[in-house]
Amino acid sequence: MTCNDFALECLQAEGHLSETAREHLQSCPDCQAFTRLNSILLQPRPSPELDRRILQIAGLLLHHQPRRRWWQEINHYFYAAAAVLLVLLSVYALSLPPAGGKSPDLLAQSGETGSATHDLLILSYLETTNEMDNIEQQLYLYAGN
Amino acid sequence: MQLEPDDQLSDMILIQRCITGDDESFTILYQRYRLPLFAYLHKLLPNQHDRVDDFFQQVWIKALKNFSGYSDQQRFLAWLCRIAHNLVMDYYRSTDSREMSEIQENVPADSLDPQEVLLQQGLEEALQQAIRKLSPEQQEIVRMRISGISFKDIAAQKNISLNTALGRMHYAVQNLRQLLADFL
Repeated sequence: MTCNDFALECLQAEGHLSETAREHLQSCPDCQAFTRLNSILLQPRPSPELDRRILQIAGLLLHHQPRRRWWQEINHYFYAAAAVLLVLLSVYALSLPPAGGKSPDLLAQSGETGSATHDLLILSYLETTNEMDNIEQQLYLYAGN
Repeated sequence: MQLEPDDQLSDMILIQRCITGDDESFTILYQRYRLPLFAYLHKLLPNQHDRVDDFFQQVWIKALKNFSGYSDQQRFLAWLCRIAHNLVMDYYRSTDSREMSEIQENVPADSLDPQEVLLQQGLEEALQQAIRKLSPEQQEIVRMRISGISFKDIAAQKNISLNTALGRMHYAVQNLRQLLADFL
């Protein structure tokens, strides 16, 4: 079999070569290259029309996708920064001494006085504490009976 | 063949650009994976050319809509093949076809080497350029053959003998071999 005969058979063959052609193919590098190129040419590929249609649809879809604004791009950084700031503020607030430097209880015990409003606050605090003690005592007695 | 710098960008970068509305990046991705995806669909749906075209289009549309869900941990081609596989499975389920069991055994082509894909893409581009260098008669017959028309039909359409059609194709393939010597 000549290379010419092989080429003509190869072009018409739908994947089935005769025994003679196969023997020729095994011993002929030129025909091996020919066969390879022919199979590359015949490999399935989308038609130019299909390519065009898909690229057209893609263009439409990509341009109609809602674009992310700059604040959407940075929003996750913003949320992270806000969370860190909140934690830092909480830690700072917890580390501060109570208002006036001393609790009303300590002020009352120490007998320190200040403005009239301040004194009223301490008085109110002490009354509330006494009332709470009374209620607790009554509940205790009630529970005991 | 000299590749454009954008052609060398990773799939992930191209996808991120697509998400921002860059259709040029999509074209690069499409050119990179159209052939292996099309071949994969042909394996899933043998002898169903029209259906392959439909699914091919559906896969790309679904991919476009789900680019934000793509993670770099999987290969883009494997991701595309998974979409294709699922769409074909859904189709067979909806038609209650017996062919479904055969499809289930078809594993997505995630084993294709990225280098191989790039090589295939390079070869395809070189092939299209080489075809343009052929004589108009040879170009015509190669394009008809590529689109799947048989020699018998080519001969009938062009009003030439079968031997003439075969002879033209023979010379065209030989010329292409010389033009594509670097790739073959």
